[in-house]
Amino acid sequence: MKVFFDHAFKRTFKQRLLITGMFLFPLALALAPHPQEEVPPIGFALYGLIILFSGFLLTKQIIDDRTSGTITRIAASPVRHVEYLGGHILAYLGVMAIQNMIFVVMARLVWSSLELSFLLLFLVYLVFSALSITFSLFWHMLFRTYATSIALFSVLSNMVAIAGGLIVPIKLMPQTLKDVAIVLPTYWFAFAIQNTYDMEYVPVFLGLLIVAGFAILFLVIGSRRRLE
Amino acid sequence: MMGRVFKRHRVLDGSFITVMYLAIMLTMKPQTPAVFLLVVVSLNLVVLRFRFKNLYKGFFIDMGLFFALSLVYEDAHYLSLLPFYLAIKEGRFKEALVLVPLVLIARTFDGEFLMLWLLALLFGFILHSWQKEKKAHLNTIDTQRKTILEIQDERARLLDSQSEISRIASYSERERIAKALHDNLGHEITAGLLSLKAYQKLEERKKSDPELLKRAIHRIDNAASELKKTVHNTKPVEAFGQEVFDHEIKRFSLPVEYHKSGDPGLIQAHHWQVLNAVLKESLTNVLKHSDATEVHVTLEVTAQVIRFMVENDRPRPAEKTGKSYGLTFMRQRIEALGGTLSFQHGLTYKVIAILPFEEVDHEDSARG
Repeated sequence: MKVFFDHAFKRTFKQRLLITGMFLFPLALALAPHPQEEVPPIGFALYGLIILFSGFLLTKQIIDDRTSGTITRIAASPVRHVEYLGGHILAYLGVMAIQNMIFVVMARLVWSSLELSFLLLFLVYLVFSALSITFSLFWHMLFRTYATSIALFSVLSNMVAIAGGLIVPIKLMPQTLKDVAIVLPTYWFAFAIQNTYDMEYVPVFLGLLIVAGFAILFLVIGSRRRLE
Repeated sequence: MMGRVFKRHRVLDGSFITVMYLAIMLTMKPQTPAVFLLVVVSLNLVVLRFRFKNLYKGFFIDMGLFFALSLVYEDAHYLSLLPFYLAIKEGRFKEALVLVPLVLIARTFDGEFLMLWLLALLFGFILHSWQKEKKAHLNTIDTQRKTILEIQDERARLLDSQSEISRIASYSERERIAKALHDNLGHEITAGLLSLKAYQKLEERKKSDPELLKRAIHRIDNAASELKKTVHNTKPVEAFGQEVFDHEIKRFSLPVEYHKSGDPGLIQAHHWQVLNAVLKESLTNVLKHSDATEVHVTLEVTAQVIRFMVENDRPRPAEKTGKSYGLTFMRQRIEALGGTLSFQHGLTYKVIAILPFEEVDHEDSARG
């Protein structure tokens, strides 16, 4: 697994543009305003969208491996598929942990007046990052080419962001929309962010467990080996 | 067809699970995070069972977990319906039946739960029976496919060995003739020749011996009888090859116009075997599938190929004649020898067979 981890890690850092974007956007987003006292600053939940896209762009390597036929060669070698998948997922999670760290540190500096646990905020982002990666794996499994995959993902992620509380805070959402939005993992991410801001720790952990549950769900479905 | 049925099976399975979850969620109202977490956990367990087929054991554990939780939160036992449904669907009825006393202990019946429970039982049982039938069908298909493949394999091997046997038979026959010529005829001719030479020498010395000449004539006479005997033994007892071919044409009930060109002696025994089979099949088909008044049979032998054609007038329309399995089998035999068999249906009906001579045959025939 370590071989794949190292390989995926190095391969990610070779994509200079992606890495620059991944580390610069959070810095800018942490500066987003805080218009209302009862909800966290806009950037806190909106950063979830960045996490979704980062996870999606990072896992592109897996679909590349499939189209270039590398996955077939790996399948023919004496390595288990779980090692390949586990190594890649951990490497991407590592990269996203750095990104989350950058955002949380910047947010801590910008919003030092706010009374909330930034460590817990980091944990929320980390769990959501895991969800983003496993969801992308699942999403890539559905399509043969990257072009179709990203086109539909852009539409879906924006809709999910609007309905799931990343753009409009869940406290300000109408009850009917909330009743439906509970099926989206982004809702529970936004719920955890809101409760972190409110310093309500039990709901935060419940929200995190739900997000983790979704992550496992997507991992179980998305980890099916597809060779072409 | 089977693929479509199997897909429908999966779609129905997925749809039923979705409907069950919707019903459960409407009943449980999972807006509270703890309730929704329970639903996510249940969903994970269901998906795990789909993904890893060998996770059969433990339906009881799933159901037990939700019943234990229902002691704290009453609606949690709704989630036990999913493992119950999956257990029924997988045919693990004993594990599913454990649910019954648990239901009685945990909760007094209400109509809603009973309805969902019966629905899960019914649907699970239907899909279980369907799946069982699917497996049986697949098994039959696999067995039949295996048998067909084995038959094809066997047929290919038989066709391969046919020409080999024919070649071996021709070599052993040559050897037998050579042996007969050497052992009987050769000795007699040599003895006759030596006697004649001795007589010639004596004649030159004016000491001719009529007894010696008589003996030489006797020896050559013996050789001539041996030659006749050998030729008689070489000829097959039963009609074979070209004889059968000519006989079939002669005895056919309709008038047959027979054209032949080239040297039929080039045709090998295994070629005759196939040609005779095609001729018989074609003539039978003329009687069965046409109102023919005359039949043309053409046999052309060139250095490279044998071209054989049977043509009859007044064929019946194609759709009425149907497929001839005999000719289909013939085609396989001809193709195995590297040839082709084709049919032309127009004002007349033609069966055309082309058989190439193999390289080995050329060498053999060149050698004599």
